[in-house]
Amino acid sequence: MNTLRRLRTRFRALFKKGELDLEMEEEMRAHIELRTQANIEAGMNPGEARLAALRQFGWTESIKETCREQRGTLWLEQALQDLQYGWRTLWKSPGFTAVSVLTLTLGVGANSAVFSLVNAMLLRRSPYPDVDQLVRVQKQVRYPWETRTTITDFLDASELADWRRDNQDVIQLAPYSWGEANLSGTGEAEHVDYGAIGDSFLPVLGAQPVLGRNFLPEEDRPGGAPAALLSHGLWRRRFGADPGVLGKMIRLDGSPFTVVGVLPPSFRFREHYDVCIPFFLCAKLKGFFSPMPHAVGRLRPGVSRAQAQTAFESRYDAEQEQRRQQQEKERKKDKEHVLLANFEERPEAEVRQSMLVFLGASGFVLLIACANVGNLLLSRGASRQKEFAVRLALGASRGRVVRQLLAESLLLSLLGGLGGLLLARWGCALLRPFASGPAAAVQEVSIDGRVLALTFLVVALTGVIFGLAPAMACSHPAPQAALKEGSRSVSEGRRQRRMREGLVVLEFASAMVLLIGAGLMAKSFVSLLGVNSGFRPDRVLCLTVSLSGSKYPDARSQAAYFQEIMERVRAVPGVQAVGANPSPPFSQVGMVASGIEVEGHPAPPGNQPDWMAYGIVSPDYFRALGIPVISGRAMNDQDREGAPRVVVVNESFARRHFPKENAVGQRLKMGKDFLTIVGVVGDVRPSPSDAPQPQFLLSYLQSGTPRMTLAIRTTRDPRALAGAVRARILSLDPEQAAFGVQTLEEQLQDSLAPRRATLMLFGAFSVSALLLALVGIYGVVAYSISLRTQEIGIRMALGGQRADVLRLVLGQGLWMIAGGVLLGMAGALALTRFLASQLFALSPTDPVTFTEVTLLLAGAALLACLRPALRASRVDPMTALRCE
Amino acid sequence: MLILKVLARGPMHGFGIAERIQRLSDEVLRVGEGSLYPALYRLQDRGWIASEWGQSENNRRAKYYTLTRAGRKQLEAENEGWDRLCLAIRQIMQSA
Repeated sequence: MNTLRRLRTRFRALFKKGELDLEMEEEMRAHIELRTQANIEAGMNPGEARLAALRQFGWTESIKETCREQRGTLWLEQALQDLQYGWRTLWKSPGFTAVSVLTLTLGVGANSAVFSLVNAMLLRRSPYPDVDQLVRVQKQVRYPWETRTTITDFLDASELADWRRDNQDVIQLAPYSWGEANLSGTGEAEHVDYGAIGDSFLPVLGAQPVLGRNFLPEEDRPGGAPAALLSHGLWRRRFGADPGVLGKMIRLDGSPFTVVGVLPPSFRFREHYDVCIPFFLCAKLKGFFSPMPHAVGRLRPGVSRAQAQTAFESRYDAEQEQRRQQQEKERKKDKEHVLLANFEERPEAEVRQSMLVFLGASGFVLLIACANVGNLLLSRGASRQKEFAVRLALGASRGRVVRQLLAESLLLSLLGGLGGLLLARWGCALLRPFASGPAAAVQEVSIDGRVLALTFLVVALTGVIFGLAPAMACSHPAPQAALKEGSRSVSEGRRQRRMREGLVVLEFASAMVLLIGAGLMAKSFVSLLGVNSGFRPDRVLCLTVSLSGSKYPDARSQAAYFQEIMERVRAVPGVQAVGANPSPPFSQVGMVASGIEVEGHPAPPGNQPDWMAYGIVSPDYFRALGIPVISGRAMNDQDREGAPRVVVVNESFARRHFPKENAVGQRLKMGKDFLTIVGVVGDVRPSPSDAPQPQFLLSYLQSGTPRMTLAIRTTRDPRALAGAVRARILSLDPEQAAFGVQTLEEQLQDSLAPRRATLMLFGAFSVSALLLALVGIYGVVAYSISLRTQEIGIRMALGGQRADVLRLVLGQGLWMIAGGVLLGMAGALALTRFLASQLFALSPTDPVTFTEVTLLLAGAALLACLRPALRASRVDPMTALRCE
Repeated sequence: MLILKVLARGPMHGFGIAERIQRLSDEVLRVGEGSLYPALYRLQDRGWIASEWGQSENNRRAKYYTLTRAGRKQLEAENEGWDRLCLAIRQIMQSA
C-alpha cells in the first residue's frame, strides 16, 4: 500500500513536474503574503513588511531546489540529464562513436550468438510440464563379460512390468522402445523411425495429441486393435495436414495400423519419431528380437525422487531375493540396482567442452573490445581534461562527473548491444550447423528471453567496466593542475599512459590466445583433409534399404533380395560397380562379435573375451569403393550358402593376429564353424579422424543382414542417377523404401561439418581479435606521439637523429608487444588443452604453431606501430615547436 | 518531530506551522521560515503527513497539512525515543 502510494507520487514528480512546481510556488507566495500581512498588522509599512517577510523566509530559489530534492526523483532526473548530455556529446563526435559502437557490436554480438548456442545446447529445458517430477529409470548391472558395473537405460521387459505394478503409489512408469520400419499403405513407401510407447507414455510426459486421441489401455495389450499416432511433421508432409487422416490405415513393414491421433509439433523425445505405436506391438514388428525397453516415470505429487528411489529399491531387493531362492541361475548374478535419474540428460562432455571453448573465445573478443573502447575513452578523456576541470572548478562533485562519463559509456554499450543483437540474429543462422547430434532434434538456436537478459547484463557490465576506469582517471579532483597541464601539454600523465599500455598488452594477450587456438584448429583441419581414408570417395552414391522383418525373416530371403536389387541397379546406365555393407564409412554403425578365435592363436586363458569388429559385405564392395585387395582374393558369388565359409580381413587385423605369417589360408573359429581367410584388403577409416580398427569381413551371401547400404560407383555425376536407382529398387518390392540417399563425398563433408564450423567460428573470432588489437596498438602509439610532438621536435632540434626517434617510438610499441606475447603465451599454454578434443594429430602446445602465431602477431603489430613512428620521425622541429 | 507535534493538534497550513513552532519554542528556534518547506515535503514523501488545498481564515487559498495514521504512529515512536534519550541524559547528568 505504502509503496504503491509512493510509486504514484514518484510518478507524478517525474511527469507532472511543472504542475508540482506551480503548486509549490503558490504555497510559498501565500506564506510570504501572510507574513507580510502579519508584519503590517504589527505596525510596519507595506514595503518594509514585505522585505522583512522575504528576509524571514530565506533564499527562495535554493529552498525550492531543496524541496525538489525531497521528491526523491532527483537522481533520476540527473540520470536523464546525463544521458541527454551524453547523447549530445556522442552525436558531436560521430567518428569516435561509430568506432566504439562497431567494436562493441562485434564483442557483444559474438557473445550473444554463442550464448544462444549454449542456451540451445545446454540450458533450454524439455517442453514438458513439471520436468522436475520426471525421471529416467536406469539399472546398475554388471554384465558377465565385464569386470565393472555399468549404468544402463536398457531394462528387462518383464521386470519393468512388475515395477509398474508394484510402485504405482510413488511413480507412474511408462515403457518405450523404438525402431525403424518401412511405411506404406498411402503413396510411395518411405523409411520411418518409430517409437513404441506405452499408453501411459503421453500422460507421464504431460503431452496430448493435437488431433484424435492417445492409445487406449486395451490397445497396448495382446489382442488390441493396432493403432498408430503420427508425428506432426509426418502428418503435414505425407498427409497434407488432412484432419481426415484419423481412421485411415497405414502399413508399417507390411502390418496394418489405424491412425488414431496426431502428436503435437512440440513433441520431441530424444530421437525423432515419425510414428508411434503401442509398446507391446514393437516386439511383433521387429520380429527378430525382443525389445529391451527404456522407461520414463513421473513421480506422484508430493513424492520426492529420494523417497521414490528408496521405496523402489527396497521392493526390487525383495524381488531379487525371492528369485534367488527359486532359481539356481539367479544366484550367480550380482545384485542389481535400480536408479531414478534426472530426466534431462546431461549433454555429452565433448559438447560441453566445445561450448566452453566458444564461450571463452567470445569472452576474449569482448574483453578486447572493452579494452579498445576503454582506450578510446581514455584518450578522449585526456583531450576533454579542460572541460572536466571547468566543471569541477564550478562546483560539480567528482561523483557527478564520473556519473556523467558513465552515462556516456553506458549509452555506447547500449548502442553496441543493439548492434550486437542484430549481429547475433544473423550469427544464429551460422551457428545452426553446430547444433548437431542428439540435442539437435530437440533444440533450436535462437534468441529468446534468456539470451536477451544475458545480453542486457553483458551490455551493462561492459558499459561500467570500460567506462569506470577512464572516468575515474579523467575526473581526479585537481582542477588547477588539469587546467595547467591541459593548457600546455607536455607529456601525458604517467598513470594514464600506464593504463593505456596495460590495456593494449591485455588485448594482445587475448588475441594471441585466440590466434593460437585458431592456428591449432586450422592445422588439424588441413591434416584431416589430407588423410587417406582407404577408399576413393568420388562418384559414389550411397543409399540404404532396411528390410521389413516380417517379410524377409531369414538370412536367405534377405540375401536374395539384396542380390536381386544389386543386379537391377548394376543395369542402370552409368553404374560401374555396386557394393553393399551395413556399416559403410561415416555411418557410425559398427558390429562387433565375441567368442571368435583365431585358429592356432588361442587367447591367453583368464583374459576377457576379445570383441572383434566385423562387417558384412557384398563381393563387389571393394571394387565399388576402390579398396585395394592386398593379397589373396576378395570373396565372390561362389562363396554362397552351402559353400565353405570364407572371410576377408583388413590389414590391421592381419598385422595384429598374424604379425609374422601370411594371413591368407588361416582360419577363424566362430562357434562351431571354421572360416577360411581368403584375402587381405586395405584398411578403411571409419571417419577421417578415427584410426582404422582390425576388422574381418563376411560375405552377405553366407550371413544375411536385413539392412544394407549400397555403394554405387558411377561414371558420371552420381546425384543424377539417384532417381533411376530408386525406381529400380522399388520395382522389386514397392514396400521396401530406399533412404539416406547421399554421395560419399557429401557424407565426408558432413562428417567434417562440425569441425569446419568450429574452425570458421574460431577463426572469425581470432581475426576480429587481431584486428581490434592492431587498431588498439596503433591508436595508443599514434596518440602518444601526438602528445609528444613537441618533445620530439625539441629532440630533433637538439640534434636527435631520425633513427633515434624511430627507436623511441617503436620501443614503446615493442614493450607492449613483448608484454602481450608473453602474457598470451602463458594464457595459451594454460588454455589450449581445452581444445584437445578438437585437434587431430597435433599437441595442444605444438611449438611450431606457437612460434608462427607469435611471429605473425609481432610482425603485424610492428607494422601497425611503424606508420605513426615514421610520421613522428618526419616531424619538422620548427612546426612541432610552433604548433601549440 | 516538531512539525508532527504541531500537526497533531489538527490540520494547518505552512505559515501557521511556522508561527506555531516559533510561539511554542518561545522564539528560541528562529530559522529561515522557508526551510520549513523541504521538511514538509520530506514528511509528505514518507507518508507521515498529507496535504490538500483549502480556504484559510482570511479567505485565501492555502495548502493544509494533516497528520496521517502513519505519522501519528511515528510521532508516538519518536516521543518515546525522545523520552528515553532525555531520561538517559538526566541519569548521566545526575550521576556525574
